[in-house]
Amino acid sequence: MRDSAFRVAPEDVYAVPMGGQWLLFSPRNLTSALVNRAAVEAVATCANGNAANVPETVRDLWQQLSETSAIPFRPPSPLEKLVIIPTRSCNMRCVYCDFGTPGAHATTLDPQLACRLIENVAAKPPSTAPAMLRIHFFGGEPLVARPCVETVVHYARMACARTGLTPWFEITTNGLFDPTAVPFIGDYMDSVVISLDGAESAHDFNRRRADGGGTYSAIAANIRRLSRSPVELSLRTCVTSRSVDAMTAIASHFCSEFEFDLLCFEMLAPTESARDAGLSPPDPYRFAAGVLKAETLAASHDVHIIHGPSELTGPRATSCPVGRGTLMLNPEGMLTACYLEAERWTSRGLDPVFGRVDPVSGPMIEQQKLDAIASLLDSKPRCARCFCRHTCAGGCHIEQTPPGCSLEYDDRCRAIRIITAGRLMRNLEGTTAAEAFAEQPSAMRGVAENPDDRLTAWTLGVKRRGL
Amino acid sequence: MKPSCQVSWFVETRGVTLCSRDGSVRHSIPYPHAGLWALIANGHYSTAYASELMSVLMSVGRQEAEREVEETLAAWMQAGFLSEE
Repeated sequence: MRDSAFRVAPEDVYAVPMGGQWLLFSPRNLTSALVNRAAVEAVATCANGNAANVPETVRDLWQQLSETSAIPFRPPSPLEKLVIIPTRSCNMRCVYCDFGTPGAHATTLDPQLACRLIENVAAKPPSTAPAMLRIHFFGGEPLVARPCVETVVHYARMACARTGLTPWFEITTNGLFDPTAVPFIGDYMDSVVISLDGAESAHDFNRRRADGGGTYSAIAANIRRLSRSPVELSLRTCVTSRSVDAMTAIASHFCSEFEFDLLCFEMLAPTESARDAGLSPPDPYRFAAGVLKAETLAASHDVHIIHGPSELTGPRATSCPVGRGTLMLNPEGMLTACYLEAERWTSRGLDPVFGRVDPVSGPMIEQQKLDAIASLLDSKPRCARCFCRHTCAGGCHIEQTPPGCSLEYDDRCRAIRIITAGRLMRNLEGTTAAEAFAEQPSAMRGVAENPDDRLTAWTLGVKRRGL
Repeated sequence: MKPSCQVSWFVETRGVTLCSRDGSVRHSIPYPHAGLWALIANGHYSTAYASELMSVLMSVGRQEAEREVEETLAAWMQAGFLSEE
């Protein structure tokens, strides 16, 4: 008999209404089941400690849901990867951009600072096997500062060769780069993320050159060139109120036009510049339905659809780099916890900067600040009753669930809840069932708005809602 | 200058390995010089940029890096790894 101390706590098993059925989900061990009302009531009885009079099959189900997790919980690790931001400036003028361009500081990172950081990290490799040094280039547009990127890549590879680490490089780029960069990216990057917002006219409305001209054709040509290299290629699409109903068509277009591995859909953030351009975030129900419907189509092309906070990768404390021990080096040589500009944190009374890299002494980290940032993950009152709490883990800790945020789900929560439930249903019943769920607004609304998913609160919740 | 058409190369963890087309010659270029080869192979070479890169990779001053670049290129040219444009 297993020690009860190692079992999943009853409060960590959830029951979510899905049409006429109930989805039972234990995020700690990723066990799920689709059951009827009588079964969920019986399982809830077990969760509340009264297993004696329930049928054996129900006890077995409860046993599986509360089984010790075979999947290790991913606590914040000391160091998962380095993010190097060579510049915040960009060669494009996307209408919704909230990263400060074109007014962004023109500062380019001194590559020697990145090298000092790499030297320091490589000297104390992580204890994980295989020992890797993971570096992600982000911007602005990192390839605007291509010499910095190249220098850092070669220095890191040299440090890895010396210390026996395996290097791994990723770059997030707008794709509007000189084609001469393609051989470098193909030879030295392991993963490339390129932003593409749909077919030509939709993309060109959102993502423009400095002179207002379109960027689709140049980016598409670079994607095709990169497809010939062994790099993992991801396309990232920002979905707006204008494009939300075209998500399946976008996936179809990309899959027929390009060879790539992952398609990442993201909801537009409600920025001032987006509003000025007449864009608003997509309706969460239509967005979630779009993700679920696009998955089947993309899978037939061996393309995996990604929605970061809704990935069923196992229990985790964060679905973004914050709190994951990521060191981000910005162009000014400061070490920060987040891709967002510092101003977005300070407007919430928070400080993302926890150190800097000194050209002589190397990285200087204020552990107290790092601990304060990690503590952001601990207190999420809004998430306490949500079945996604250990997979989404609060989403963006600054924009979605900052300290003091309301207890009500926001639109991002709604989309995440529907996508997560739909994916669980797909795993249980197949893609047809998941697609059917995505066609039922009332079923999606039932998932999105259920105020308390905890199985231990099920009886109370059902009574309260008169279900 | 550019890689000789008689030479193919592949990137590996510790640097770059060159092979002659007929397979008779195999030559490893470890770091830091593998960084210099990458600039030439990827068509992004300029004397100033190469010296700057080597200065960072070798942790030496600019003049020493320039000398290193010059000598390395001369050696690669002589070995037939590089050809003029």
